[in-house]
Amino acid sequence: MNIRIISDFNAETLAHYLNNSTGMSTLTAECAPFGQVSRQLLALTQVPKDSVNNPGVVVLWTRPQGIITAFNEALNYARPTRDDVLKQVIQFAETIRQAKQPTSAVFIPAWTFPPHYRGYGLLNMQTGIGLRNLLHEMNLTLSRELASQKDIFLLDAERWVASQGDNAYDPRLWYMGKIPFSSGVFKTAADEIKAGLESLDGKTRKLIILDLDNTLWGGVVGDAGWNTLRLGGHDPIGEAYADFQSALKALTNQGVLLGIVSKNTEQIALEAFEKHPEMVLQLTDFAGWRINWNDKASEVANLVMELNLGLDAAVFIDDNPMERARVAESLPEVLVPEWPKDPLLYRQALEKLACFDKTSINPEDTKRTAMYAAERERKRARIEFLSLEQWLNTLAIEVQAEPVNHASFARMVQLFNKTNQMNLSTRRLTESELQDWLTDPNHCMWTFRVTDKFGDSGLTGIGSLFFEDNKAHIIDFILSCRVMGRDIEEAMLHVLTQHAADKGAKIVEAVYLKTAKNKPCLEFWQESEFNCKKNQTFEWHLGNAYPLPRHIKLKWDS
Amino acid sequence: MREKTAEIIWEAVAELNEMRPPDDQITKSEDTVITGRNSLLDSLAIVNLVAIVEQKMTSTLDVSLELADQLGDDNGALQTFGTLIDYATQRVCGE
Repeated sequence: MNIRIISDFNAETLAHYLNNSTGMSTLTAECAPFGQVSRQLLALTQVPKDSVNNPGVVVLWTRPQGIITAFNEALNYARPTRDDVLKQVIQFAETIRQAKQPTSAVFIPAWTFPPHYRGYGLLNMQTGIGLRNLLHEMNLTLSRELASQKDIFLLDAERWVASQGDNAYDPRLWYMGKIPFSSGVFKTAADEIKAGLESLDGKTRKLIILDLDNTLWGGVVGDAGWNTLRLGGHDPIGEAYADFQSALKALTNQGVLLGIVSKNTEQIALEAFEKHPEMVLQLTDFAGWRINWNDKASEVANLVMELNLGLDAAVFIDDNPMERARVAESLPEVLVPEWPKDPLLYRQALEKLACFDKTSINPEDTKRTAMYAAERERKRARIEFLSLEQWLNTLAIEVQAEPVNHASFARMVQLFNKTNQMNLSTRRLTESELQDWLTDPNHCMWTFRVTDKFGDSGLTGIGSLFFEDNKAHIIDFILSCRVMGRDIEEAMLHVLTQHAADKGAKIVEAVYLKTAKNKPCLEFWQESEFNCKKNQTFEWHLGNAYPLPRHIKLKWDS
Repeated sequence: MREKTAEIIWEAVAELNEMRPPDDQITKSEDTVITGRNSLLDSLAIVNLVAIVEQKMTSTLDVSLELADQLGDDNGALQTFGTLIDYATQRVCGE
């Protein structure tokens, strides 16, 4: 991934940190000549999307006084009007919008002041006078002006500066090298930007696997019983554990899943969840658990597999350094953060983890834990039936196929970038790239929503076609692992082939592109009704309709 | 005291090395050249070194070094890490 840093100051230190820190080996950051922000942004508007000169991702970091001249006057107490300042901010936002076109994303650190800056002192936060008040308004205006623009992200740089205290700004660096921040600020910025890039790349962590004793609560439940645990109450330690649980619960509202891997007797541990009056997390907050006396590394791997996730989606939190080391060594893809000894620091340690960033939040995220709970029920019900067919018939599955609509874009981008197993071509797309692809009249795309008697799985499938002469090529065939194995795939093919026939195509063709993780997709296509040609190409002649599974009720307007 | 100032200088070098590729690390040796013809440090590294050392000397030993003054002086404190440690030690001891 390539990054171009455009700034009105010397940002080489940031480029060095981005290029040389661990984690993203394929990242290359370079600085455009500094102090030419407008020129660099205007130059970007001339770059075609497919040009080698397309920088990929742009980090646009400016000082407010360096880019908004009216604010520079305000800093000299010249008192330009608030409207003059905000008008320039709106103009700057428009320049950014135009420069965004060829790039895949633009990251803009919000404007900041040095912590020591007092401005008008007592009046510095006063509306109409205070410079810090004005700077807040500038950031809010910039954010508002860019809100409708996809893949432009205003970053919380105030936090990077605050993290370095009085050392955030070093006048020595400014006078010697035109560097306004200390290396600590740039290092924090590089970590945050990398977390953002990983999020754009669909590499956000989705699951936190937790130990129980001395991690979710204080004490050992198997030794002394649930009523002796330190959790909540008038006790700083108990309060800290309850607060840690609250922070975990808050993450589930962002779509992060929780799991348990603990060496305990399951019945005793579960009793604590059911009976302890101050337990914040309930069993329904967990997507799954493995509570037994087995090796934790094996159980972490088993739980991740059970939830149809990759190991690289998981974070493991345990107070015991031996267990952390065991999991980190055995499963290097799992993120195992160093964990503080002091439970009073647990919540802070959790909130510092920069691995759950998202490029957007959508309704499916907030329902994810409930969906896994429904899946647990499905599996329990599955055991009661002798055959798969019998079981599928009882599920009352409904699939709703819809042409793409703008409201679904955020969720679709999430599926494009996170789905690995049932993914024909594994195209990774940003929202604007998706939008561009759809502008071609020979392209079309359908989304698929799935519900059954246990609950609503939401938008979980995407299929797209490219029409060429009398052939329709299936470009994307994506299905979330949550609903795989219920013949939703067959229903998707029914819709895509029917649509291709309606458009006059004679043949539908799909080419499987192998990745390290999409073997289940190949197995599906090999077992489908499509004819398997050489080179993992599959074909369907549209003289016949592709059969819709009898147990699926399809809702669509063909 | 020389040991203490050396420790501060090596901490600053460690910070600088965090932003450099593994095959281009600054050697923690008193003979390593900082400025001048044989220096392997670019101007960004030198500027950062000066700022980090000054900041650490102030916060750890409450001594102000004013190394920026030494930047243009070929025979000054910034010839090698050895001369830098000597200079810092002298300033701490009030010489």
